[in-house]
Amino acid sequence: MTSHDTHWFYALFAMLILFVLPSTSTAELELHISKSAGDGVPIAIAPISGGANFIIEADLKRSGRFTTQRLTNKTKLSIFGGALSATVLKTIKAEYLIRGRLAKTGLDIELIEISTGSKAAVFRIGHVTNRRRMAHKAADKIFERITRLKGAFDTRLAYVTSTGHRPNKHYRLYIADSDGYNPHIILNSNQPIMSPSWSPDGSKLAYVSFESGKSAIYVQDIFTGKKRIISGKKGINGAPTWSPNGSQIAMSLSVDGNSEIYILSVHNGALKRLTNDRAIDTEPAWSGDGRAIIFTSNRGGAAQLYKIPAHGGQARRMTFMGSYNSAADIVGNKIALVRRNGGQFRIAIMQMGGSGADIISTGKYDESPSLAPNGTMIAYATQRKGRGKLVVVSDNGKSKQELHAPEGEVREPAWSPYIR
Amino acid sequence: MKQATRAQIYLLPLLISALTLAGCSQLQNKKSDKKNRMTTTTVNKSGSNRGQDFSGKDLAGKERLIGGGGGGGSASTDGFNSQGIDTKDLGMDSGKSGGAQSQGFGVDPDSQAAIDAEIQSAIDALMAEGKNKPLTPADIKNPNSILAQRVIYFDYDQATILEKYKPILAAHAELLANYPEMRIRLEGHADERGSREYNVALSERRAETVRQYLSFKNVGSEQMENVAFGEEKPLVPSHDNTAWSKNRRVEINYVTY
Repeated sequence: MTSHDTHWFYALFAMLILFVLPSTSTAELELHISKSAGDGVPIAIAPISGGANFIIEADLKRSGRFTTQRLTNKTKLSIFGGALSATVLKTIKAEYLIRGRLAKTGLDIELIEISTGSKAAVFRIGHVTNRRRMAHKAADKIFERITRLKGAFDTRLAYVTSTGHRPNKHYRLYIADSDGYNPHIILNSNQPIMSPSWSPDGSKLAYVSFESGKSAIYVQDIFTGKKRIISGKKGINGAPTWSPNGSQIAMSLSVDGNSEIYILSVHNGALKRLTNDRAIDTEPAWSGDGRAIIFTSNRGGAAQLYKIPAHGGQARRMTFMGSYNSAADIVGNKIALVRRNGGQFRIAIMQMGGSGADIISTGKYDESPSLAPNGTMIAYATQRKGRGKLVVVSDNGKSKQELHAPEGEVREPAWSPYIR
Repeated sequence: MKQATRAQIYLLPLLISALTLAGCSQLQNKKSDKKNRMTTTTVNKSGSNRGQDFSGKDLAGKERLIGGGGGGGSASTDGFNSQGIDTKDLGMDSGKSGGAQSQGFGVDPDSQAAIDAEIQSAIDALMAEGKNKPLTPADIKNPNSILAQRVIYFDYDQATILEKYKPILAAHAELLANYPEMRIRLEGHADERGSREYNVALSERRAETVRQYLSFKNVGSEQMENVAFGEEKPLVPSHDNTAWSKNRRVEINYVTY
């Protein structure tokens, strides 16, 4: 009886929030799932008061590894802690069943293996002020239990928007949940903002802003909003990328007359030049162990990816297919990049040390690939009807969702590391 | 002769309208700045109409993310606008007149060769007109002067100065060499194809080749500064060959004038 009462309480609470708080956000990205896996692990999800089931379902879907099924009717089977009868379980055509409840103490979840009727996992997600994060955390646990890969749904995306027309354009740097919800403006400017890069602890963003009239690199704490300039040299200050241990930031500077890769020590501000070539050298990305940097150079005539030891040395060309390869992003052994094939700029995934690559996007001007910290999803920027929008695609290409801004353009997604 | 008048007819109203636009834009900039600030302080943006009660109430408490910074250049190293001139808007003027002008000749916009020929003949006419008079700073505002031409264009993924633009650069070099107190910003731009930071580097190379050319023509290095915007500030916001050819450019913006 008490349990019923709490259900009502939370349902009422949900209604209150729905009606009392109108949608104040005009900047929230609109999410469209355009493709989802039909051959993933079949998983059924029972309703959870408060709607956490919808968030869990969407998360599992966009991983490209699950085929989800919604249980709509409330039976004993769909209630958290309810009895599990083998005969009733058999009516669900899935491998797993998720049920849960939102209680005062948190979000309780049961993952049930349908063939055996046993509980594969039972856990509680404690209260978090951003309540959507509770559902993402639950989806992470479920994902991890079934795929044995760490979940990356409870993460964030940084991205840049531009609205208006010359000369009254506005640029904003946002961070949002990885599914586009809960957007927050980090920086507002009437000059371009570019190249957001997360610190490995997820607490800061490095980015390029032209707010002073020319490019400079800033580091901003996302919680306090405090920012400081870390590079404001003559010429280009571009492409900041944090090293995996957070002690260094690689960047592209043209202070010596031509764009080269430099490494800045976060601790003492020491600057070390890594490349020395008359060609364009930019877009550094760190290998997972921090020992090498992959960057874009047109030293061979057109843009290609090159690899150089992070302590200096000889650069070796890494890409030989496609007339233009650039903008690497690395997670583990996976490298996401922009590749031109014919007249189309597409996102490709290659393996460190491998030679082939899979093209995973279908647009004409796709750019700025950014891998989720577990490497299972890639966010990138594309154009639809001449407007910039974001796409999140699973690494197997089976699931795809689009994120549109209600007005203007969205671009340069940067996927955060795991949030602690 | 016919070409000269034609060019004049197009240039004068364009310059006037460009100046008017610049005036308006400054007003509007101020307005939208205000709006910006309001948006910045409105931190609590969240969707509450989707996904039921999980959408909206994350915003109190320590998880909250502070929107901050503000684009006003609080942490800036700005030294450019000390003369009180909005260099951005100046860039807009020259860009607009340059871009719109070559479109305004009534030729098939897809025909690059025809556009080139028109630009060339307009340049020739302007050159012939001002041949015997030394250039002065006042000529920058004279739509009939070659100095009204302050944008030059580049081939795809190239930073080489095309022959046809050298007379324009030579004229600016002459003025700058004779008036060493004058300062310019060379703003490099790229079309949208390719990755963004690569395009910043490419646009920097374009500005740099122009800087080197002017330097070779006796312009002091202290008179020039490069700014590379990559693909971030297209002149023409559409996505086709015509737009791209206008967006691959270097704008010569006079700062101390």
